[in-house]
Amino acid sequence: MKKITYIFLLLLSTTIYSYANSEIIDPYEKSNRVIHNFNDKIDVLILRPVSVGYSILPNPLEEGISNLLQNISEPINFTNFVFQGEIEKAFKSISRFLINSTIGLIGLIDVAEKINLEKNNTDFGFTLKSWGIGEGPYLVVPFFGPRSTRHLTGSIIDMVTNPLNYVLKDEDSVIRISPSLLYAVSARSGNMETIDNLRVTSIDYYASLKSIYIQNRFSEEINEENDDMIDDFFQSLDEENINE
Amino acid sequence: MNKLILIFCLTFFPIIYSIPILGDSYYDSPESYVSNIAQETLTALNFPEEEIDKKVEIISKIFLSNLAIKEISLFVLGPYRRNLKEEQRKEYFELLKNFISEIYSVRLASYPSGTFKILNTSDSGRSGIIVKTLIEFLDDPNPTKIDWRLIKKKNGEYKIFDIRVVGVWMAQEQRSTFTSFLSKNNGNIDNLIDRIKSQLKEKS
Repeated sequence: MKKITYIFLLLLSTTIYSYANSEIIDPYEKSNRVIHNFNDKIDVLILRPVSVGYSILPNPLEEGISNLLQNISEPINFTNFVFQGEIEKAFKSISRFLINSTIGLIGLIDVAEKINLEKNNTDFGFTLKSWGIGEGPYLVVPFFGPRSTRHLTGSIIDMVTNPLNYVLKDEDSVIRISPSLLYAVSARSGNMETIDNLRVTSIDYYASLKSIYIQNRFSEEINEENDDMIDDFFQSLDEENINE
Repeated sequence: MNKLILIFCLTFFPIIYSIPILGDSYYDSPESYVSNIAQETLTALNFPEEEIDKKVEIISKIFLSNLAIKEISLFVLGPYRRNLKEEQRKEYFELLKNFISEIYSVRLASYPSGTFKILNTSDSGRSGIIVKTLIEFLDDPNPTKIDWRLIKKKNGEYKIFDIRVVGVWMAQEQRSTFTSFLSKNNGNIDNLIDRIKSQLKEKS
C-alpha cells in the first residue's frame, strides 16, 4: 500500500505544474516510442489474434459482454461523478448499476438505457481535472498504451478503489484480472479495422495514436482549440492570397 | 419579335451556359451537400466484402472530387508550411491528393452500409461549417457520429476540409503525424515527399 501511495504522489506531483489545456508535452518521446513498439508487438502477436477470435462470437453475446463490462464500471463512475460534483450523473450511474444488476441479469442487458438512463463514463483522471490538476506529460504505458500522467494517476486510483477487487480478492489471480483482459479484447475487437487501417496508412503510427488519444480524451477542449487553429490557418491563407 | 428573341437570349443564355460550369459541389445548403456525399458513400459501402477494392475505388473517387485538397495539404504541414518551396508545390499537392483520398477511402470502406440522418449544422465562421450526422449501420446496434467540416470556396462551392469519425478529426490527425515526421527531419519537405511516395507504393 505504501508503494502505491508513493507512486500516486510521484505521478501527481508531475501533473500539478503542467498545462491545464489539451496541449500535452511529450518529453519522454524516445522511451515512449520504445514502449509503443513493445505494445504494438504484443498487439500483433497476442491481442489482435485473440480479438479476431472474439469477434466471431454472435453479436448479441458480444453486446452482452460489453454491457456487463460497462455495468462493472458504474460504481467507479458513480464515485467519480460524486467527487466531481456531478450529482445528476452520479445518480444516473448508480441507478443504472442497480437496475442492470438485477432486472438486467447482472448487467448482460442494458435495461437502464431503455428507460432513458443513458451511460456516461468518467474516471479519476477527470476528477483530478475537475480539481484543477494539470494534464502532465504524455506517456505510453506497457500493455495500457497512451496515457497522460494525470490519466495514469487516475487509472491507478480507480484500479485500487474498484469495488470489484474486494469482491474478487479471494479468487485466483487469473479470475481477478479477467475483467481487465476481457475489456482489452472487447475494445480491440470493436476497433479492429480502425487500428489495422491506421497501422498501414499512417506515416507515423506513434504520432497517429497520440493524436487519437488526445482527441478522444479532450474532445471538448480540442473542439475549441481546433476552431481557433483552423481560423488562424485560413486567416494566414487569406493574407498570403493562397485561398481560392 | 426580334426584340423578344434578343431579350430571351440575353436572359436565358447566361443561365443555360452556366449549367455545365456548376460542378458537383454546388448545393444550396451544406446539409444537401453532405447528404449527397453520405448517400453516395453508403451506396458504395453496399458492395459485398469481397469487392473491397471496388468499394475503395468508388469512395476514393467521391472524395477526390469533394476534398479541399489544397487547403488540407497546407494545413497538415502545420508550422512547416513555409518550408514548402514553389518548385515542390505541384508534386506535393498531387501526392497529397492521392494520399488523403486513399486514407479516407480505406478507412471508410471498412464500415458496413446503413442509413444516415443530419443532426445539426453550425457555422463556425472562418473555421468552416460543421454538419453533424448520425450513421446507423446495418449490423451494428450502436450508431456512429460522423461530423463534416466544410469550407465554402470563393466561387460558392462547398468542399470537405475535415471529417470526424468516432471522435477523431482526420486532417487534425494527419497534421500531427506530418509535423511529427517533419520535426524529426529538420522540416525537410523532400523527405516527407519521399515518405509519402513509399507509403503509396506500399499500399499499391
